[in-house]
Amino acid sequence: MKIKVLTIAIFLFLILVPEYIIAQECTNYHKTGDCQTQYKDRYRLSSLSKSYYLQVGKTVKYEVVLYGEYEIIIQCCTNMDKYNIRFKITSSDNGNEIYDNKYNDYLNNLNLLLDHTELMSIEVSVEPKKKKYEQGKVCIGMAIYNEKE
Amino acid sequence: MIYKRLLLILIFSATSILSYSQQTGEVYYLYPTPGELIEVIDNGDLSFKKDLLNPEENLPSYIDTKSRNLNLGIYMADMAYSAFFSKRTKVMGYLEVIGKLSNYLLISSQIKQNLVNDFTNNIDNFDSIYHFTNVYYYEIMNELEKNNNTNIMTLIIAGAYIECIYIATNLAEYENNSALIQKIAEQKFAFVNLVKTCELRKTNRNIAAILNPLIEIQTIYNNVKMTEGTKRQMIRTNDGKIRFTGGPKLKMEKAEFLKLQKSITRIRTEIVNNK
Repeated sequence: MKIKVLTIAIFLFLILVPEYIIAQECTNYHKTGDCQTQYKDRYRLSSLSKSYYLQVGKTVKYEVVLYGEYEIIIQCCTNMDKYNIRFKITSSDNGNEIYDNKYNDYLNNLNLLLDHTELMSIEVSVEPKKKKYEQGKVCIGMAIYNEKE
Repeated sequence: MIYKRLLLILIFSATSILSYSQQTGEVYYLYPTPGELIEVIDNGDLSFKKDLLNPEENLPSYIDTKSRNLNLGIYMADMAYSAFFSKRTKVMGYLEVIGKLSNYLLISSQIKQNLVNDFTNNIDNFDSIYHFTNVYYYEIMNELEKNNNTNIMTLIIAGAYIECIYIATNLAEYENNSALIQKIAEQKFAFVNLVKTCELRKTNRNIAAILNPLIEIQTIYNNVKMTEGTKRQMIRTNDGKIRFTGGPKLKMEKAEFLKLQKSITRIRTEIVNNK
């Protein structure tokens, strides 16, 4: 009985704790790697930036106010060797799609300037480059950079 | 017996871990820091008026969770506003008050100490002070999110937003085509998100209590109409940037502005006086 209980306990520990640790480590992923902009002298990281531990095949949606007349960079990242990162921007007001990087060779960044402030929805997902990467979870980052004044 | 206890503890931990990891597919409402918000609004010409700030002396009256967290947001907005106008003494005063209020949050003392050190070591550099004001807010929010304290986060954000709009509406004089009025009108979207966030968490009685005042503000904002504007066009510039021209624009009338100013002043006064 003791051995059975201990085996279950160890099994749960091995399965769940590493995932929890990875999810915690993912918190600041948007500050690293392919989410970093090469224009650090002109842009600074906005607090709207976010990282997420995403199930492959699912989408995370961010509702965000994008201010008019401010130039911003939206730069998304993940393990780019295994996945393409896809992001779509739609108007939260009427659902109209504004941009989808699928039609821009999955380019992971967008330099954006809106005339007017708008509430936008940014949907981020990953598309596996090989069938073997279709399962599991992956860390994704969405860095938003504002132009320095 | 000890093995059974171990198993129970692990099952309990597993449940909380699963609830964390099963958040996939959720919608996240993202908010700028009060400093970033003030910077955006400043594009419409803000000035510094210390009478608009919540005095540090009010701190002892915040003895319940709701008033502590809402006023933590208010003090953070006041610190960002003071830092934006390089008011060093005010910033240091608020840093102390915020430190005391955040003692009630589950934030590691190491993080708090690091942030206080960053401030005190850079006190002569106003750009750094402003920068660390944003970092301070961001780190606290990050830590709260990591600890799944989303209800507290929501109250802090609500307090910070109410204070920022209170300051802006009380500095503005209504004029047609005023940049500041336009920036205030554009906060409509932030309140849309804020109300949605609170709706999701209204089973918490503190959030339920702040939801009605937020709906009151949103109702006023709902009368701020979107004008159709010109047709939206996507232009790819020579340097590879994408620019969206046109699209809808908000237009705030004087009656709506005065109503908003009156409402937000009353709501904010009730929060700082802990009524």
